[in-house]
Amino acid sequence: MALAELTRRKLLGTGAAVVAAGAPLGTILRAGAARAATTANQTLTVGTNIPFTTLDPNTINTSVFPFRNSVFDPLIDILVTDIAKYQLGKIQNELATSYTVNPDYTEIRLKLRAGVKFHDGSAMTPDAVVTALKYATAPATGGTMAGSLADIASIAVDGDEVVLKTSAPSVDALYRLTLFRMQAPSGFAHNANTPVGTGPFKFVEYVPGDHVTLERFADYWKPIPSNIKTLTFRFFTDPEAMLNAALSGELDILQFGLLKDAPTLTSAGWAAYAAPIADYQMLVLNYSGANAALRNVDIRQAVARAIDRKAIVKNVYYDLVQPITIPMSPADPTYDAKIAAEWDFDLAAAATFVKKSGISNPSFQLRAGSNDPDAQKIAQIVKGDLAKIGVTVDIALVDPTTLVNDAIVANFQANVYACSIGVPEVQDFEDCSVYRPNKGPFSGDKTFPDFKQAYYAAAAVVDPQARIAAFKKVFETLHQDAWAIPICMRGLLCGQSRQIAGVAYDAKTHLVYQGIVKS
Amino acid sequence: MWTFVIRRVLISVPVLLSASIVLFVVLYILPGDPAAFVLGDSATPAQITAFRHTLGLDRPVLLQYLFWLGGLLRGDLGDSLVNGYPVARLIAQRLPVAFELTAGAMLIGCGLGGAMGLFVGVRPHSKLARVIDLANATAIAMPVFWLGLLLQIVVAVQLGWLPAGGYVAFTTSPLGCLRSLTLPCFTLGIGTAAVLARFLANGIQETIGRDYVLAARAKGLPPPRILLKHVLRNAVIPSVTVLGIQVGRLIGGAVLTEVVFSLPGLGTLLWTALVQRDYFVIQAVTLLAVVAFVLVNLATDIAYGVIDPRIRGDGR
Repeated sequence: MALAELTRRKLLGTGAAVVAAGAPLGTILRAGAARAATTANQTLTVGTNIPFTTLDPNTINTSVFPFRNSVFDPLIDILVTDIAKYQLGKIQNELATSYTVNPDYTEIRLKLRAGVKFHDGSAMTPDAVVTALKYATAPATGGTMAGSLADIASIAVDGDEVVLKTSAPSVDALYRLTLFRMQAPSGFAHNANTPVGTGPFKFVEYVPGDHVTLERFADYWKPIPSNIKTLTFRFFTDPEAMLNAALSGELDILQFGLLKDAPTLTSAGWAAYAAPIADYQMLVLNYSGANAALRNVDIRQAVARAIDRKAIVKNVYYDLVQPITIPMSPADPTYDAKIAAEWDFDLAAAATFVKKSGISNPSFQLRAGSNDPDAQKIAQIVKGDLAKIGVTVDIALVDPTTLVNDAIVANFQANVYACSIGVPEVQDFEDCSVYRPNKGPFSGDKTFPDFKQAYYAAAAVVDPQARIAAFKKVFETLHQDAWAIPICMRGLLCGQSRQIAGVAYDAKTHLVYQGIVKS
Repeated sequence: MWTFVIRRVLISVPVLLSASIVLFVVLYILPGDPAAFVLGDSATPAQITAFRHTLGLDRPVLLQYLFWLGGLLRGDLGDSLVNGYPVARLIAQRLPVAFELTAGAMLIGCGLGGAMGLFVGVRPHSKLARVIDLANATAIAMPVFWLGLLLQIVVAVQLGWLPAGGYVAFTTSPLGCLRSLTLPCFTLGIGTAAVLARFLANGIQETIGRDYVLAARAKGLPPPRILLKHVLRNAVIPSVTVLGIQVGRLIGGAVLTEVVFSLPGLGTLLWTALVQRDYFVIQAVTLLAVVAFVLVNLATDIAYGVIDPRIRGDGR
């Protein structure tokens, strides 16, 4: 063909040939999709925006929770009965058939279920449970679980029971034990990659950065009300990509997406809701005392009343989370509506406190994580609110590492910070890191002497009603001092397609897949 | 020729060494303490200090660099700060995906770019050539992540032809692998195709009017032979250089492409490491990208010398 002989007709002919060749390709592609669809009903595909960093159940972080609940069982467990309100149910037996706590809260006895098998076919014996508990409580091998169970001093077998003794009276120990997941001692050496548990699904494949595949465990110790045979977790580093995968039908459940995408999911027929983030369920504004104006309690009281939390929840969290003024979920029995109402949005009251302080033109620097767009938006809204009462806020965006480092040594004036909420009721297993005595960035003798005493006193109360009353007293102290200002609960987007029924959440905000049915 | 090759290889050594220094220093001066980040906000200053010592972060910076370099030479890239896995193992797990993605993108870039460049070069004034020119300009201007998301929405969400993301290994399912890599490779390769098409078209247009091409026509040589032997061989030289440079773009673009399409390659490994402040992983993956870029440019230089003997400077 001569150079100049490539005519339009020939070109169109070539184009037609390409299209003709492409038609079978399209058929092949669609056939591939159809084949995938035939097995889809037996496969539950969960997209997660937080790739697993390890499969070791002793490492407690948001990323690994969904996996550990599928492969491993707890001895005892506690479920969240209302996700939005973070309301907890009662403790229930799992691998243990009963539990008892002695009157002075120093000993827990667990009677174990018989006939439970690990995924490798071996039997779960009391000795295996003791070995796994000792592995989990040893600092060298227990990961973050070792910290959660740090007050367990001894673990031993007594007949068909496992006996745990704590180093001091602890109402919380039983509830901290719900975090533990049973794994086979034979799998300790490779539990980060190929773990062995007793859960409803057993491990099949892990491709780091891409997916984990599990399959139904045929010898599971209890019936599973689910038709799911294969459970696949797919990892996404981009929430937009995860959303597109959900919309294109590749996912059945989406977890840890962006709340802004909730309307998009809903309009596509998905159920969408905000699930609390494990360990970081609450956003607060807090101070170190480094700023002269913020050392004045009246200024702090003014700030607490000048934050329009409803506007924050609406504009930042799309009305999917709840505003709070005390570090507890409104569903918790220790939540005192009267105390909470003290910090309702009231610019006139706030202005009165500023006047009362006697400080003219108060100002402070407010830090937000440079990687946290939600915190940045909140800082902007707070800045706007405080300007109305004559308090000037200078926003500084700080990289997350510096934010944490500086918070530890109190090298900041004010932060928009995420932290865990307290659960200081009888099922208390998670104290609040913002107010945690002698740990974390916002505590210590100098800053919170009253709170420290009050907290320890409340935590030592064994009677449930007295305990609730004691913690309400703590909230009064927190409100009087106003060193940390709760803003709202925090959540990440979770969604499920219309074919899915039966999603449930446990106490640590992660999915429990046992009840899922896919139509 | 061998002198030329050895000279080019020797030049690459100081380039790599300089790159390693720059990379190390840049990561060193980044704000934030990796030890504190790994241990979290519950860690005490004493715990952080102890962990810094374990990681060797309390050594003088020069010593840290030399230890790191020594480790590299021994093939020890260190361990991930996040999960403790050897970084070399993490890279080995991800390398096949990254290779398939960049190779596929290069294939699309060369195939599509070559075809478009050839057509526009031969028939520069046709309507189709103008359309191709416009499409190429658009493709060059389009950010990779934007194009990726657009393709996801149109091809995966609206049409349902291909998956929106994820990876299927070739050994698991060849068709699944093709399906999972088609959109990412196209996203990554289309920019290269556009650039290559432009350079090739320009090269052909410049060459096609030369006297020796006219002489070849006058001799009555068949047009395909004129095109292949006399036009393309000369016209392709700038394109080869551009391809070498495009590899750098592909490596950078692969990070975003992998993130958008959730491919478990080196890009997502680097991305996750950046988010998690996993310094040893960041250092290793970035250095690997630099080495790949230097090697490809070395290959480009050598190819350049093969195509055009005058470049070698060996007197022939």
